[in-house]
Amino acid sequence: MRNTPEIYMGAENIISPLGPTAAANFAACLNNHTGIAEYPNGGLNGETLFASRISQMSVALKGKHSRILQLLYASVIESVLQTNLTLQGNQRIALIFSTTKGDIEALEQGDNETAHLGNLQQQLSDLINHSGLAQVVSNACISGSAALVLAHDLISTNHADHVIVTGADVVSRFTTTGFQSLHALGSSACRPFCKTRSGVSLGEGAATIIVSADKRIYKTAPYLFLGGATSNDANHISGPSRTGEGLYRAIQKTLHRANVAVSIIDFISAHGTGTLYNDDMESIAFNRAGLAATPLNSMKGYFGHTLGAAGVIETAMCLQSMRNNTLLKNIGMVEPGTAQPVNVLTQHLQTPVNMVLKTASGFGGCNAALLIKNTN
Amino acid sequence: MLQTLINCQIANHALTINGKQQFVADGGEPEAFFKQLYQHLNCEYPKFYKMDAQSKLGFLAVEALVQHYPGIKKFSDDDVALVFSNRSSSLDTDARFWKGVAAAEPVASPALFVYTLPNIVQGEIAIRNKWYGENIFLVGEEYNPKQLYQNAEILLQTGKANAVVAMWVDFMEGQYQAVCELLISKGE
Repeated sequence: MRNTPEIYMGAENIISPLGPTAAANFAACLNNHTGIAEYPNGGLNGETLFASRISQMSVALKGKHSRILQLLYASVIESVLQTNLTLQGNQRIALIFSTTKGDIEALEQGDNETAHLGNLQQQLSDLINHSGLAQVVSNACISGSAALVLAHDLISTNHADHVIVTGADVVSRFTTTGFQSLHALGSSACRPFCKTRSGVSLGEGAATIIVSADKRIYKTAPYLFLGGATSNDANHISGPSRTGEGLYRAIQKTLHRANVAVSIIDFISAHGTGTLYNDDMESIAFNRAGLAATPLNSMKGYFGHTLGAAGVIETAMCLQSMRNNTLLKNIGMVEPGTAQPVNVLTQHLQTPVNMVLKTASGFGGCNAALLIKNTN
Repeated sequence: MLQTLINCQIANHALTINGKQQFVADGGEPEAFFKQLYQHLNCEYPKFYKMDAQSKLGFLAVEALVQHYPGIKKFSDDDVALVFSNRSSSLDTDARFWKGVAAAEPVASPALFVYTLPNIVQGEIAIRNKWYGENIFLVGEEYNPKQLYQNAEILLQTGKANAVVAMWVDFMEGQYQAVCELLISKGE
């Protein structure tokens, strides 16, 4: 372990239907915009679904590059430009790419070789002139959060000085028909934590956060990253734990390691997919952890569930909330209704945001939690 | 520094433990071999039959590891981390699922779809062994023990785990390999 325990995160980018920068996305959410819209012919037999899809790619790369690579490239470049880092030749900059399906559109076209996640990461590294340590994290819906936790630990154990964490997934026929087959898709835009929620809306996008031990690399103030933890429910591969055991343990480990009391957490950026069982599970875990009264939201109502990108997008939105002293409402909420009560934000709230807990849960029973502190 | 307590490998129709061949099948389809190995290990875990090929492979490697290193049970349920990697993510099952969706009469199989994520095998193993510890699944171009060791060491060094099941587990179009090690910090 290195002597300086202070690790930062900042220089965040988000590319979604709501905009090409984190600030643009935050402004759109503040204006109650959502990326979720009707998705005609999205279903297996041509049914209309709801999803958050990027209709136009206005990014630098065109032509032969896949959509997901274009998103990743644009996101990473915009983030790096918010720092004074030079990627070329710097072996102390690591890259972690989080995704569930990567270039799934290649698989749909029968090109299994191009669909390899390692291949996509290598293409990204080449485009941005990155030659340091590179890893792909693929842990279902916690991928982005797990990638951020790993970035923290790569730096704390002196394997890197800076880590670019970038996550992306696209909406494809593969994922929409899959979630449809599980009866997990909502009959309208998703309404996380709402009593009448009916399921997930899928979304696409990319996001990037730069984690570093050196505060001076950031052009705008970064935030203190207190690290996090992952866990497994050891319960079911596709159904959430009825006791919230794994999520509870991930939160406990994270708080304990950072020596942070629940009483000083100002806000929880929850996972909140909008399925009945997931949101109930989270409500149970938050109650067990003593977080029932802590304001929380799910960003899924704005972005849909962006799978491997979700943890990075939602953590970037936490940083934006800290920058703007504003918590966003849980869009789509009509009336509360989870197994146990939680304090869902129903209006945007102007307030200092000093300590944020981000959580995520996914298929395979995995959970993640991480903490961010505002010292500015 | 890391210490390997046990090394289990499944490849070429054989189970090898610490370099010594324990079980070998005559040949045949990989999944027929996995079934024979399941029977050889006396697993008695019917959920095995519902798993996709890659999950069966990883599950069997850890079953062999636990049977041949019962000392793993001395670690608490939060202390055992799973650090896995492979090349193919879940592409073998992805292709099977997609074949149904792309068919003239499209079918989306939920039983296949739940296995279209590489980390599902970690869920299967966590459920079987009641391990609630850290999980990370890394995808790379080739078997890279150095990367697995580095990620295991990070979890041990930061105190997030006291033991790591580190495994390369890859199944793609009938080609398969599992290399599974139980790692702890040296001196423990």
